[in-house]
Amino acid sequence: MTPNTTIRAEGIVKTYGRQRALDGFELDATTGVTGLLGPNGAGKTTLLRILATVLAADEGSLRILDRDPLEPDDRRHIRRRLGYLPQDAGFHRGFTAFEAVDYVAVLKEHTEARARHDEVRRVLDLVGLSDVAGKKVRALSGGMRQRLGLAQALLGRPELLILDEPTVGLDPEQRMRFRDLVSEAGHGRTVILSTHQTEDVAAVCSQVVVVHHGRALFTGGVAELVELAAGRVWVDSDRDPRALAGWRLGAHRYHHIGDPPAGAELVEPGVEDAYLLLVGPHVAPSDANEERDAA
Amino acid sequence: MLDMDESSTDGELLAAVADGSAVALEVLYRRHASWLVVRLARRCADPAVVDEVIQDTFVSVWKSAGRYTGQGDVAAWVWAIAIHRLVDAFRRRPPAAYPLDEFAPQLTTLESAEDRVLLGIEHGDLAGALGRLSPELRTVVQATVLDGLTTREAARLLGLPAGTVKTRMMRARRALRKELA
Amino acid sequence: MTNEVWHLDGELAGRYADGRVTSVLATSVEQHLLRCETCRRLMQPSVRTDRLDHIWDEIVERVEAPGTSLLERLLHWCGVDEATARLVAVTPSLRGAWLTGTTVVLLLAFLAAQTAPQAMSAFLLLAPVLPAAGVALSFGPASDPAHEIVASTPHSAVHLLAVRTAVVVSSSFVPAALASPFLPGSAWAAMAWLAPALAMTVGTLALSTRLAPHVAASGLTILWASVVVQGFVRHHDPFFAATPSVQLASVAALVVSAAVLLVQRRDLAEVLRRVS
Repeated sequence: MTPNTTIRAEGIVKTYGRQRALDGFELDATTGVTGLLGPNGAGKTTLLRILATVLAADEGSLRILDRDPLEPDDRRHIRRRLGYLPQDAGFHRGFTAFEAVDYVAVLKEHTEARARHDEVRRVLDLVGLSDVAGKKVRALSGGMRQRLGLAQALLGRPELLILDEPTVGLDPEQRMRFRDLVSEAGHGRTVILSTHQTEDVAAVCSQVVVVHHGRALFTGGVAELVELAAGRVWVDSDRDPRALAGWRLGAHRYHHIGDPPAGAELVEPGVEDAYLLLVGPHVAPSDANEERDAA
Repeated sequence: MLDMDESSTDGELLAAVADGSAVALEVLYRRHASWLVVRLARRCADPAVVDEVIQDTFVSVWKSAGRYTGQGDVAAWVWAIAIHRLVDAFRRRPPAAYPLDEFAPQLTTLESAEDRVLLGIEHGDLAGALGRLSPELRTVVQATVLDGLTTREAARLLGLPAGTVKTRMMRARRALRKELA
Repeated sequence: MTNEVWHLDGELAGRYADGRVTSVLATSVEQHLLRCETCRRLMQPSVRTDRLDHIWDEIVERVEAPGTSLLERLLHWCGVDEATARLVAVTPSLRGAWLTGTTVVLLLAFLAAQTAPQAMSAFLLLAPVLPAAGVALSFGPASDPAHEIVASTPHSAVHLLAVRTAVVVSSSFVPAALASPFLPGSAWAAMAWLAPALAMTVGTLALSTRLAPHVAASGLTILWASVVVQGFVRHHDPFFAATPSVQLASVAALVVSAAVLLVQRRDLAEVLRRVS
């Protein structure tokens, strides 16, 4: 294990009843942003909960920050260096934004009140919520609550940041700001995020893991992922029924992936194309391309 | 939420504060803190108490911004809060001495022309009449009439028994009535 | 005629700020300042920026971090540190509604018992049920929408559990204990709720290592209610809970629950702070 490997997971298995949420998952993550890309139900959330030490794996070996999350003392050490944004981060609706983050700060062992409050203000400022610090959580918009969740995860400048679907509920502008924030957070620390937005991955991730049926189908850089689709993406003025998947780009312009016919007009592939080639067209990761339909 | 900045009016800022905006509170603070400090310093010699009163004032503004009705100047509304917080501070820690008493009385004649212009606009020859009151009566008038305090509050501010404030106020009222008649 | 024909100049502003004007002139200036933003701005150079910044820091601290509820101050007064008081105070079952509810219910039962001794059954039924219900409400996902975040923090779950339980339990024990000396019946009978209440509370925690806390509390509540109601219906005894057999059974249940709890405390804490 290299010294800067933050997470090393081998053969992780987690079963709920008869369903295998994780089926021998492998993951190595170091400093930078690792994006888990996959359809709903692929096992992303289960994996992130295990990495955040709130869930124990049934099988497999896991080292986080060079410690064993199953050992109580080690687990506490991990938790001290961890920031976690769960999928449905909730807060007491009667709290103000400030109180909600302050509460988590207390649990993160920031015991000295004044220093803690300064830290709460710092993270609220980072996510652009300074001006609503005194507002009740129930009065905040969905996007603001999502940022509030991120704020608490940033408390204490954690070395490992685990973000489950952090861009859900954000409008396009907030999503841009958010990507900046995550890229910045990725300097000098490890960020693991899950998303089903291929654009998020292309924008911020240094490593991509395509998750499907509880396994890592692909692990590597964004460029390597895109490379998988080289020569397999073309456009045509009509829909091509032989394509694996295709969608309309505009009047008489159709985007196709699959095995191109001879003489097809090949185009540069994107993350989306590579992803669809890997997991199959029926599990669209993105809700941005609603016009796509399987051929 | 609207963006609050230097160009917003006090009323807009206060509405934003009522809506929970700390940024608006800061703009309001930067705009009003200085003159409030100066004015309070004339009523309280201890800068530490003045600082504390300013804090209390803006915490009150934060909490009760929603109660501002839009009637009258925001400055006057904030001042009313400040003077009452000063009285509260004196209740916790009575002042050593009230610093209001006459500064360089020989200047009075030099400045009386300015006084008349200023106070004369709004209050007839109030300045002249005030100037002719004895300092202890004048202090009482300033605390009750101009700072808008009740007898009990004025007594706390001035460090006097309430009865004394009441009798001095009666004497002052009589003197002023005679002057301004 | 307008009020703004006359303004301060820099020289007068400076003298006023330094306290070098007569009180009559000062009064004039002050009346004018209330109406004139331009002249108010003349006061800005008179107060140092670092002083204003310092005051502002204090204001922000007080405005954004109010955090000293009555309960927190009370806990602080009892020697609980600030951070722990914070955690306890945010326990949902300790926020306003629960405390008021507990007190009102006990008060009603107390008043009823004053007027009719039969109503002692109601008091002896409720006094043990309320703390157990409070404990059940204080833990588990339903009680804390931030449970998933809480579960990932390093704070000692056992500590949190212990402190919250102590406060929740005392929030209904204290009013019940205060009411007891004034209840009808002997002093012993009036305190008859104590052992069952402890047994219910500790029992709820012990069962929570296997069941959801609210299921545990509901089960014990039904059990206790059937004991009290049966005593009243079959034996016409409003003090049935005070009989030696019931009391001894309660103490036995308490001892068993406490033993289970002692062995399972780490598991319990982890179970209670997480969903699945």
